[in-house]
Amino acid sequence: MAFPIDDDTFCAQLLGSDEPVDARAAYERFAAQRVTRRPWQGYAAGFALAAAVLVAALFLTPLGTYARGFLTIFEAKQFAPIDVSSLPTSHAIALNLSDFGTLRAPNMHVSAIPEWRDVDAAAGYHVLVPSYLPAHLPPSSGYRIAGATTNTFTFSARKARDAEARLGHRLPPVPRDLDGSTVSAQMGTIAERFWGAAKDEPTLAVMQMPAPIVRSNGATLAQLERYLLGMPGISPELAVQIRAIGNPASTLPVPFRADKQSVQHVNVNGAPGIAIGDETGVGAAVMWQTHGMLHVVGGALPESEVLKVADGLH
Amino acid sequence: MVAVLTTISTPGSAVSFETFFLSHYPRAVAIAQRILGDRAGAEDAAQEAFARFSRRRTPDAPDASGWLYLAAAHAALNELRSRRRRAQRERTVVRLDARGRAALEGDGDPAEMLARSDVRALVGATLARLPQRDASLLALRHGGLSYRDIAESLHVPEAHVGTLLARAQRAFRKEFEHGLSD
Repeated sequence: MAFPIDDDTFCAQLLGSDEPVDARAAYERFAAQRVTRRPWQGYAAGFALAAAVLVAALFLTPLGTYARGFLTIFEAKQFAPIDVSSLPTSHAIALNLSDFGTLRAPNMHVSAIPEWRDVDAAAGYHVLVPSYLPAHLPPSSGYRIAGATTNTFTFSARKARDAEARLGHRLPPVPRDLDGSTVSAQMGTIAERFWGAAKDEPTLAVMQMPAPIVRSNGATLAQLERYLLGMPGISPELAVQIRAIGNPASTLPVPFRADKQSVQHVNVNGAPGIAIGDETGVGAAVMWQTHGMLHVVGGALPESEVLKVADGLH
Repeated sequence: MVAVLTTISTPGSAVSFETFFLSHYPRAVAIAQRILGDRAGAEDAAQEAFARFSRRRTPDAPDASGWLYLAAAHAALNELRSRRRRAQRERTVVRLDARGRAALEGDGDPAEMLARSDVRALVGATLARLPQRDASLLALRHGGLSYRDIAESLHVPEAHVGTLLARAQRAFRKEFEHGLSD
């Protein structure tokens, strides 16, 4: 049969009309359900990644991350976000720390803690407890402890020369004072509570560890900084940011990408910290330091929710 | 108490994802609802579209909204086909009675007609039989997009949209009426 109306009206009638939509509620639902991998997880998901941000990036990964994880001889007390958008990835792929010396990085021993009441004893310090949790967290949660480790790196002028010849890159020579010098990063025991997939994609992770300490048996802060800034791929903008760090002996540079992440200085119960949000608005991490402890809270959650969790730790 | 002291930077996107979501979610739902006919399904499809979007686009991408709307249409069509497969297994029979026909002739209330599950089923069956681009085009247009927006979504010249739309509407009508005569 044929209806006596035009095709446009016919389709319009059959395909229906609009109803009011609560976009805000929909966004909250979207944010709560997001568990896919997010840039924040570079900061807060799992011990290895947390360590990469805090100290071990200097020792564990290629040169690009070496620059991003630039650390000095220091005791972490405050944070300085460093925009690493300008770092090329080609150098990160081509060069490794082993091209400049010898790295000793023992694997962290990670163990699950079945009962919360045992976490303090396993960590060796009081682990804070959240008083606020976002709605719709996955029902699965657990506790983990990563044992304390010390990573060391010993500079070698000979290795750097060999790498230069092998790779065909012009590299800054290892200064005489750095050659043979060893830098060590002392990482305390890390305690973590997580919700969701434990392995690498928890919806929420709450971590705590003693503030890391980096020591050197020879190289000074100024020497390390000068050497790092001479590395290929370090843009003038990045060098300016590193030089601008107010007190490098106590400031932990935290790499972020301004093209994909937002960073804010925050104050968590009186302690200075930074909050990093990803481009989607549903991935964020906040880190701060207080009473000698470093805290990281991150998740596939809006930044406001992550900050509320941080605020509620006691 | 958490206090935000200073904002050091904002992401590369001039528009935050949250703002983008809030701005475009209602339209994405409207598009999906044209295909699925129900609000809950449409909202699920819109959520899926935003999830895909967050993995593949940023809000400041030149084709951001067009990409999102087409993703919403495709998510809805995928769900529609899934429902159709289930319905076929259950041997759902679709028939439009005299009252439904009267509504389509302009002699009744279209909203009332659409509330009928058999009408919605027939609309769904019709859309499922159309080529994906035609079904998407109908959803985009009747979900409220302009010819320019449709052209951006489907990557076709704006001048062609009218012709493509007329063709899709004609095909929809023909399929729907064919369904009625079954």
